[in-house]
Amino acid sequence: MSILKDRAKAGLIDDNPTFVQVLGMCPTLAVTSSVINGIGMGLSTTVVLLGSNVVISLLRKIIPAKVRIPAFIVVIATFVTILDLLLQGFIPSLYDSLGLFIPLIVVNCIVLGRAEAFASKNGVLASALDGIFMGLGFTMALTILGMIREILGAGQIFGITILPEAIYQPITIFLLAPGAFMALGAMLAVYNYMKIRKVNLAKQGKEVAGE
Amino acid sequence: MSNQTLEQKPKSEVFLIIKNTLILFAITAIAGLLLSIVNSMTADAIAAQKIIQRDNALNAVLPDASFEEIKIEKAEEYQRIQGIYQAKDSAGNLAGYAFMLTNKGYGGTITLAAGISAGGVISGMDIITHSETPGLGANADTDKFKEKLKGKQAETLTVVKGNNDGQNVDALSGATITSAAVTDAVNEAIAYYNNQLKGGK
Repeated sequence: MSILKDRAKAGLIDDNPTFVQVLGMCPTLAVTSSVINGIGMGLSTTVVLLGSNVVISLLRKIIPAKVRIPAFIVVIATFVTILDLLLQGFIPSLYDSLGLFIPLIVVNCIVLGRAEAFASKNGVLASALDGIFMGLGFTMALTILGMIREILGAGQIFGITILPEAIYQPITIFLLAPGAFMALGAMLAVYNYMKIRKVNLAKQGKEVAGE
Repeated sequence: MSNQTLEQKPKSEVFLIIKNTLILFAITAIAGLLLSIVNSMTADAIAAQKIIQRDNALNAVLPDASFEEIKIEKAEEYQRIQGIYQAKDSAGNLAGYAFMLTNKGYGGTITLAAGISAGGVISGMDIITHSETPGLGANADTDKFKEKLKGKQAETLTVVKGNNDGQNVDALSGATITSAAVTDAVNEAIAYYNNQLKGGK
């Protein structure tokens, strides 16, 4: 139970792959032009993270330290390719919307990062939970980023117009690469502001209690 | 004693290299085996899906027809044509031709389908894959733009800004390159239709 809580807190907040580790920026910036893309990319990465973390954790005593990176890459690439083939063959509707992103997961350094930093040093259960929550943390960040960009850039959310063009002229730049950087920068600023404020409040609380 | 360790050291390093190589080889071999199993499991399903996708795309540009692929004559002159399908209606009469086309857009290759009815009218255009800029070139994949091509005579089309009369195609605002890429591809289908197919050749 404590592992679950610990991993959930790390993945979603304290060690969030996007806000704190700032990993996987290529898919983060490239696919978040709409909410649905963000969710799709996030969830497919979660599936791969879970699979690769479990396998690498199982193999952690077999894989020699000197060749661990190529071994991890092979495991990750295998998972991605299997996922790609299965979706293409059996869930074509999902593949239509995600097909573009699946090969991008191989180059997502979050997956390799978690293999190296966590799964290669921890047991299977902890690694599986780490994979799930790091993936969900990534999904959460991508969903928020996609939401900001879709609302500002197209006046829509989930493809449904909420701000008609009569009252709101969409800022197209938010759908393009520069807008992705702006939105991500603003999100990181808000995250850090909240974090610093929390630390300061905790300090003040201690001082008050100390008196 | 010291002699022994000196001899042993290079031996164990070689041994380690071999051991590491073999372990990595084993992991790679298992991964390859798994992939080949999954590939053979899904190959048929994927091929079937591709045909369904193709028929859906062709039906979008030439509705209510069944398709049969025909050979591309003078393929070297028509580089943008990837496939030509003869369409028949339910009574077995010639309904027209559907073309699979590719062209280089602003952000990469655009794959599209275009249909020309037996009467020499463009029956539809559909973008299949593209990587154009969202909000600008990607608007080529909207009904608004597709409708601009539909119903035109099968004669050379020209991209013009702010005018969609006759053989003019109104360019998408901020996406002239994409508009031209799509129109050029359709023009090649039109040229092929006029030179090779028209008149029951």
